[in-house]
Amino acid sequence: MKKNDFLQELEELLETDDKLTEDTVLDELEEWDSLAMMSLSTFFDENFDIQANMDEVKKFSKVSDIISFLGSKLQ
Amino acid sequence: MIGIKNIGSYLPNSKKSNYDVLEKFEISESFVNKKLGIKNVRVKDKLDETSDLCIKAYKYLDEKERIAKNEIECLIVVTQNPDYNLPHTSAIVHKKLGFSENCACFDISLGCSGYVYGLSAIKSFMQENNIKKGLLFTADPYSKIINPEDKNTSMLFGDGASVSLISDEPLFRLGKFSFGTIGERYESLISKNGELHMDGFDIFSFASKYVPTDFEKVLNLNNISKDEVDYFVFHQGSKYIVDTLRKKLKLPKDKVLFDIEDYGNTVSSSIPMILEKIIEEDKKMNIFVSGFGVGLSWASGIVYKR
Repeated sequence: MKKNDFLQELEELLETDDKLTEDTVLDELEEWDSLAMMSLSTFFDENFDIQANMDEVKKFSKVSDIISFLGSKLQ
Repeated sequence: MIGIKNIGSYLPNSKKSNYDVLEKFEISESFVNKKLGIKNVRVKDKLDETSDLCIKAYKYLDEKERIAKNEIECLIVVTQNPDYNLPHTSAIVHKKLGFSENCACFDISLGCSGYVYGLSAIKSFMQENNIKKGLLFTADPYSKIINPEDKNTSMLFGDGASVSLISDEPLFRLGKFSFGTIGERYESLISKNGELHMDGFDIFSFASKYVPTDFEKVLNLNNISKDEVDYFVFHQGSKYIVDTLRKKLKLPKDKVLFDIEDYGNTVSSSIPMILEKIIEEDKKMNIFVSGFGVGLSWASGIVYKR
């Protein structure tokens, strides 16, 4: 998946009207709550075959952290 | 042909508002509105037992159907919070309703998948034994086992009960059903030493993965297309899980029912409570039903309203 496509998917998943960039601070988004974290983890599993538990997802502070976590899975 | 003739349900009047615990649980109003979709949960009277909730649901059914007590030959209660460990709650309901001795009674121990399992079980049992009228109760008052300080569970679950009259003159015919279990993950929703514990993350990932897979299977089993389904009635776990399933399955918003804002997740009663409302719509319909949760267990199927 391309990085920009992922950002778009993330916007949809979080149902946010904000335009997400790598610098977006997740905690500043109202939509970034425990349920959004669960959805993100499920998204990882379905799209990248990566199993991330809640503790790992909770550690993300900026969008760039998610991108780093996905590493080579994103182009 | 055995199916659902009518449904009655009961919700306690007493409500606990989730807006009252925003600060305590550090959550926002929009989380309650948009994600949980549950503003109030119902709480039964402390003195009411599970069997009493069944009786109260029955009163509503009886107002609609005027059931003769000696014609009920089968009575099943779906619960995991019975009055006692033994006897079975269905025997207590049998006593309280004053039914005849000529009536088979047993409980089914299942949670959120229990109504769909129960429908299939009672249909088979009645057909095999040539029974014309039976009752399928659901009553799982989680207030008995919820710790009010537990954010994961106390804002979700509400008390309630339902009873379906199952008869050989049905309003809803039952199509083909599908069932499954992942026993390996039984600890994700469990009552230990009398207190409910839920791994919400595991339940969510289970439901968002397995229900869509089962969905396709059920459509194929019933030889029906997605577009031919008029309503999709998923177990009402939370708004978030229902919305997630709707989006994953690309279903139109107006066909996916959600109705628990004012009472919460009533476990095995959530599906019959919605079907009860559908009865009032005077038209033929194909309805997809799917229950999932404790076990981890799921059951899905199609019911046809005539």
